[in-house]
Order: sequence, then C-alpha cells, then structure tokens
Amino acid sequence: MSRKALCAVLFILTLIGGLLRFYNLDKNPVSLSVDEVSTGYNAYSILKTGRDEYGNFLPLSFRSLNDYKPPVFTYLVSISEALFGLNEFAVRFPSAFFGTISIPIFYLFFLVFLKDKYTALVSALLVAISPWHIFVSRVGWEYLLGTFLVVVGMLCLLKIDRGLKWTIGAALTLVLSMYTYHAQRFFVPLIVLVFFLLNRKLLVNKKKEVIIFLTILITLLIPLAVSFIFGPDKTRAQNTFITNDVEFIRNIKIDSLTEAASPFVLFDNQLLLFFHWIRKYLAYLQPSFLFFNGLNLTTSGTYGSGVIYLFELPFLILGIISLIKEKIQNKRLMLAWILIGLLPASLTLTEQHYGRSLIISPMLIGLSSIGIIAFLKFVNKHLSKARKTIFYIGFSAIIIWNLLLVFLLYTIHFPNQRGEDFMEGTKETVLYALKNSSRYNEIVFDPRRGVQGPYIISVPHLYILFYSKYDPAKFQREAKKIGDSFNFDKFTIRDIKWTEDKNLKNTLFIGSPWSFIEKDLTESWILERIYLKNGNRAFLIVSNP
Amino acid sequence: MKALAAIIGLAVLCRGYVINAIFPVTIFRQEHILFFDLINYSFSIPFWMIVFFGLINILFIFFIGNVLFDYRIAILSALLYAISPWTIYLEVAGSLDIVLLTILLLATVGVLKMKQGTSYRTGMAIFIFTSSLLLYSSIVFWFLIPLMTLGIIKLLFLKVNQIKTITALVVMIFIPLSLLAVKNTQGFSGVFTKEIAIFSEVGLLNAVNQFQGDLAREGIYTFGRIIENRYTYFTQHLIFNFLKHFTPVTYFTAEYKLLNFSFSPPILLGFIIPFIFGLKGWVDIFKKYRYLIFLPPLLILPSALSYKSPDFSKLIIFAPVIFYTISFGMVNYLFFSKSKVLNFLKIACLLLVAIQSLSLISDIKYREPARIDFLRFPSFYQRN
Repeated sequence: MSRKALCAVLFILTLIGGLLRFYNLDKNPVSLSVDEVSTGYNAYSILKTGRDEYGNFLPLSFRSLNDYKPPVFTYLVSISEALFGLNEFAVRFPSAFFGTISIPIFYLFFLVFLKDKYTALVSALLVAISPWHIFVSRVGWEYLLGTFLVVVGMLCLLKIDRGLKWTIGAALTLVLSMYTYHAQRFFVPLIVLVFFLLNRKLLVNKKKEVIIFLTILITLLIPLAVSFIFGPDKTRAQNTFITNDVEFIRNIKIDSLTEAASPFVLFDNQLLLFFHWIRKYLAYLQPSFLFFNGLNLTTSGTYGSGVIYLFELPFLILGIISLIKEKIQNKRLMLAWILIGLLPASLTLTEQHYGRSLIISPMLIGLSSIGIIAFLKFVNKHLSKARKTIFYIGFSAIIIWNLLLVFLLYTIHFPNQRGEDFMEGTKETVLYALKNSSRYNEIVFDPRRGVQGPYIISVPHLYILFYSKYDPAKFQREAKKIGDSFNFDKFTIRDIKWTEDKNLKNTLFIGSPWSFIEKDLTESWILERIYLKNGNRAFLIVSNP
Repeated sequence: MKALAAIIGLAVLCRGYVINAIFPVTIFRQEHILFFDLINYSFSIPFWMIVFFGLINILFIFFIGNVLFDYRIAILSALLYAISPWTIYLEVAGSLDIVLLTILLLATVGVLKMKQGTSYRTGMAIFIFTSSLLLYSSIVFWFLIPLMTLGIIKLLFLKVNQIKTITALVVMIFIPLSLLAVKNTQGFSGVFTKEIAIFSEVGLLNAVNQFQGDLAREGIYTFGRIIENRYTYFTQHLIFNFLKHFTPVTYFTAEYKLLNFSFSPPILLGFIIPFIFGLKGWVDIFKKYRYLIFLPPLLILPSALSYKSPDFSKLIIFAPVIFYTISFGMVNYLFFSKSKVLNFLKIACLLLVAIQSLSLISDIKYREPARIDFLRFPSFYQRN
C-alpha cells in the first residue's frame, strides 16, 4: 500500500471515529453524571478564580466529591470551557478530542510496537469502532486521557534510542498520565520497569537517555509522592482499596460470626483477601466482561455490550495463539502490559470496572489485530475462491449484525435503561428552579432519588452551580453547611420531611416521588412532573400555594 | 496400590471433615435414576451411597488415566478428584450427577476394553449397559450417547460388522424409551424443561420484551426486531453459557459459588499453573485426533443448557478432563523439568495449594456453617 493510500485510509478512519465520538456528544449519555458535573464546575471555578470549589489554589488533587480527582483532566476542561462555555459539550470535548486523535496515534504506536503496517492499520480501524473506546470518549472522565497519554508515552519510550526529544517526550507524557488518573500511578512505574528489564541493552548503550528519562520522571513525581504519602491521595487510595469490598466483608470474612471462634482468623483474613483479589483479577478475562456486558449499558441481568465486539472472539483467540507460536515483536511487553494493567483495577472494591481497566484496551486491540491478519492469511492461503467468497459474505453479515446491535444498545437501550446512573432529569429540575427562583424564598432539593426506591444519592447542588453558572468566588466564600443541610444562595439541599415541610409557604420543593407523602399531596400543588426517557417518573416539583 | 489406598483414605477424611462442618446440605432434591421417576421402577439412591459412588469414581479415574496416559498422571488425577472442593461438596450434598459420572466413567472403561481387542465383547457389553443407564436417567444423554457412539466408531476404526452391531444395540435401547416417552408425554416434557431450562428462563424473556419496548418507544420497532429478537438474544445466551465454561476463573476461583453458598473454589487455585501447561497436551491430541475437539463442548452441554450456568453438578462429568489436564501439565512440563523458570512455577504451584488448603480447612470449619445458614434462613439474617 502506498504512503498516500495509507494516509487516506487513516484520515477516513479518523473521520469515522470522530463522527462516532462527537455526534450528539451533549445528548448521549443523556445527562452529565455527578463526576462530570463536578469536574465541569471545578474547571469553571479554576478558569474564573484559579481556585477549586473549596477555594484551594491550583490544586494537585481536586477534592470534588471527596474522591480527590487527579488534576490534568480538570485543567483541560477549563481550557475547553474557555473555548465553548460552561456546558455539556465543553465538559466532554477533551475526551472526544483525544479519543479521535487516538486513532492515528494507535496506528503510529503499533507501527513501532509490532513493526507491521497492516496490523497497525487494522488496530486503527478497531479503535475507531471500538465500543469501549467510543463509550469512554463520550464522557467527561479521566480514563481515556490517561490511557492516551500512556500510549503516547510508551511510543516515545520505544524510540528512546532515536534522540533526546523522544526521551523527554516519554518522561513528560508518562508523568502526565500519572497526574491524569489513579490507575496509571500503579501501572506506569511497573511497565517502565518491565520495559527496561526486557530491553537491558538500552541501559548499557543508551545510558545518557535512560538517566535523563528517569531523572525527569522522578523529579516530576515528587509532588505526587508527597500528596500520596501525606496528602489527600492517600485518603482516596484507602477509600477505594479492596479491603472495603462489601461482599468480602459481609459474606467472605464474616468476622461478626467467627472472630471468637478461630485462632487463625487474622491470618485467615489476609489469605481470604488474597484469593478474593485473584478472583477479581481473573474475572476481567471473563466472557461477561469482554463480550457481553462489560460496559454496563443495560440493566443488570440482561445482555448489553462487552468491552470488545463478539465477532472479535475468534480473532482474539487467534491473536493469542499467534502470540504463543510466532515470533512477534514485543510480545513479552504486550503480555506484561495486560497482566500489569489489570492490577490497579482488581485491587479496588468494585467489581469489573470498564474505566479502571481501560489501560489494557490497546493490547486487546493489538491482539485482535494480530488475529485478524493471521485469519486473513489463513483464508487466502487455504480456501478456494468460491469458498472464500461465501466465507467472507457470511462473516461480514455477522460483523454487520454485531455492529448494528451495539449501535442500538448505545443509542436506544442505554439512554432508556441507564439514564438514572447519569442523573437523568436533574438538569430539567434545576432549569425549572432557576427559571422560577424569583418567586420563592427558598428552593429545597432532596438529594435522594431512584425509580425503585430512594437509594441513589445525587449532588443537586453541583447541577445548580453548573447550570446557573454560579459565581465561583461567591460560592467559595459562602458558609454552606448548616446542620444536616447544605445551603447557598436560596438553595437548600436536604431530605424533605413532608409532614413538616408541607406547611412551608414560598418554598419550592424538588424531590423524587419517594420524598412526598401522596395522601398529603394535592394535585394543584404539583407544578411539574419530570419523567425519564423510559417513561418512569423521576421528580416532582411541588409548592404549597 | 498403596498410594491409591492412601488417596481413598484422604478422600474419606476430607468428606468427613466437610460433613461435620456443614451437613445437612439440602440443595438437591432426592432424585431417582432410571425412568426419571415417571414410572414405579425408578431407583432412588440413598444419600450415603452418593459418597460411596464418589470413592468408586477415584478408582475409575485412576484406571482410565493409567490406560490413556501413565501411572503418575493417573495417581495425580485420582488425588485431584479426592481433594477438590468441587467433588467433595457435591457428594456431601447428595448430587445424583456423581452417580451419572460413575456410570459415564464405567462406559469409558468399556470403550477402553473394546480398544484393547482381547476384551472387545466385555467392553461392548459394559458400554451398552452403561449407555442404557444414562439414556434412561438423563435427557441430555439422549444427544450425548449417539454422538459418543459415533466418536467411538471413528476412534476405534471398527469393522463394518462391529459398527452394525453397536449401532443396532444403541437403537434397540432407544425403542422402549421412545414408547415410554409417547406414553408419558407430559412427564417427559416436564423432565425436558427441567434439564434443558436455558430457553425457558423468564428473566431472558422479560429482557427481550424490555428491549422491544425501548425500540417501540423510539419508533424503530420493525428495524430493531431484525437485529434484536428472541432468536438473536437466545443465541447470545447460548454462546455466553458455553464461553463461561472455558475460562479459568470458573474452575479455580469462587466466581460461581459452589452449591450457591460456598466460597471454596471448585479446584484449588495453585493447580491453574499446571493446567495451563497441560492445555498444550490437548493441542497435540487435537492435531492427531481432530474430532476429539468436540469432546469438551459435549461434556459441557448439560451445564450449558441448564437454568443456572455453570451448573457445577451437571458439569461434574467434565471434571475428569480437567483433572487429567492438570496432571498432564504437572508430570510432563512442571515437576520433572530442570528449567529455573519452571522450578519457580513449581514452587509457586505447591505454595499456593498448601496455603489455600490451610485457609480452606479453617474457612470450612468456621465460616461455611454461617454461610449455609444465610442460605437456609435469609429473612432472619436480613432482619438482623
């Protein structure tokens, strides 16, 4: 294939990938999630005042929802908001942008990593249409940017012998990735170590470059290390560590029932935790995560989309076989990448998480690409022309069916079934409240919501701040916490106690149907009903006239 | 023989320990072999005999391993059967599938005797007898026995007369069974629905309806139904059920709880290392006997078609294949190698097995009784 043709194909793939990532970016997912709105408002606050919502000046860690988000993505969102304003598109733009330019970057990366342009081209195609990659490109979360930076960093590291610019580039991007997402803080040092173990000759032949690389890396990581040992990042790590896993505490350890009985209990617990961790680690290689419901696009117990397409299954198997049998460039590094990449995700308290494990996606795409090339070679070599045609037509039909299925899952079923996970309906309630705020002395939001019951705790104050473009400087100065409620301006975030609250005048109440006692609610008091896309009632807006 | 006796002694000890901790485990309704409990001649097996059949399985696994491979692989496979929580828990809980495994192993012994040539008639008699027992005890074997017969015909390179004889005998067994099915259609229909429950799962049908509701709301019902319908959904379900059986997490971790409550893994985690090496043995076998590639999916079929998949009870007929694979890996790659890397893996394997065994001994004694109480009295524990 000529260079021009290659560039043309890459350009078309990038266009397709860009279209899939940018089309209706502000409308699907249906609403900003709590993390997105928190990032969005903190970025706005940084843009306007240089401080986050808590008044911290240019923080290295954003307290946000007490989850201490790494800083890089939020600062990027402030740049995006400077260009596009404070809205959904601006919050999601950095992910979509880096998701789109990942396509040519993946090509370049695999060109160097596997030293085969056709495999690299297939990888670019797979990343352009990857459900995993598209999904995380369309949300304002840090996962995609973190993975992008690791790929760029490793691309530079693979070229460390070609000059100082690659050395510095590798160090800077890898450090930046560690300031972008938590998983990278665990992954990057280990993969760098493995890289140098597998390329020991570099330590001898390119000593200067290696020393410069390590010096830049370690120097720039000092603030992170300080924050981790003495600062808020330690809290984040402790909160999300596997020892807090509810299933482990309740059903596996069951200390409350057994602590008096066993002399081995303390030792036992550590062993049980170890084997529990191994289970979580291996569960990332399960078909349910890989092919059937890894992205959590549909309700629990139904089939949705895995992190890779079902039609990629035979290619993944072929890729693994090729990796074992054939001489493939950097195959040990590929294997190490997957094994190490699953470590940070498996050490947290949640079950299989598509965001925390995104770091392995480049290698899964690489494996599938190797499998596709092997498959095409086999078919071209062993099948007659007629059989080849029938085979390609049949397999193409399966691929098209799978692509359309995932398309329907993402565009139709995901908004209908998972809207609540993205706090669907909150924007509408906030916009109503803002439009009518002058008529009331107080506007009360109940943070509890949920169609099945009041089990979801939202953060309505962030949505109010976001959609009202509330002055960050004013918000930073206000004393907000009063007893059990959270107050600013005329907004109060607290549980609605309807038996008492129903008597309050000039007050607007916004809550889920669970917040109100139906027999004490007159029809004329209900000013608005907010419904989810699937027709379930999400909120009532009520006032006693 | 001393080693085998020691293994049986160890097996008795393990089962006694678990029985002492968690008995009674009333997971399985007392089933009947022969005639599916549809006629008066069904045969009920008392609970304590299931453990006895489990001990017989150890002997059969040893014998088969000795003929197919060698003494070391045979003895290791027997040991694995004896100490794996998978087999121990099923026997303690009184699963009839342990007895079906015994019959299937005996059928395999019959096939091996047919292969030996000198005991051809004895082997065939054993195979026909055991096939009859299986056909009259489980509907899934109505598919498996004919396929296994076909496999045997290919494997043994039988003469035309021999093929005719064996085919005629298998068909003859089917005749009374067919008459019984025609006479008792409703009963058999119930047994069929119970054993092949994959397509009658209510949750699946509800999910299909929910999906089609979403499509109707968006106004693309007709187009959507071409891509998403009951058939595509059930195809995915079937593929998913099969794939679950080919991942290591199913067999070496407590991903799917044994008997719905236990956090003991079916097979100790340390054996995953020789298992991975043992898979290479299968690659060599498939190169030589290509049609044997259908053996694992056939043995997985009962579990893949059941309501809750993987069903470790129905899957027990696949367990010997895994034990042989592990033993093959241990003997041929791991334990007698001089490579430093393999030595390290050997130590890792033994260490993991040892510490998990210690952990399990404590866990079974102190925590499993509590876990089975969660299962027996869920509302009590929810309130408290």
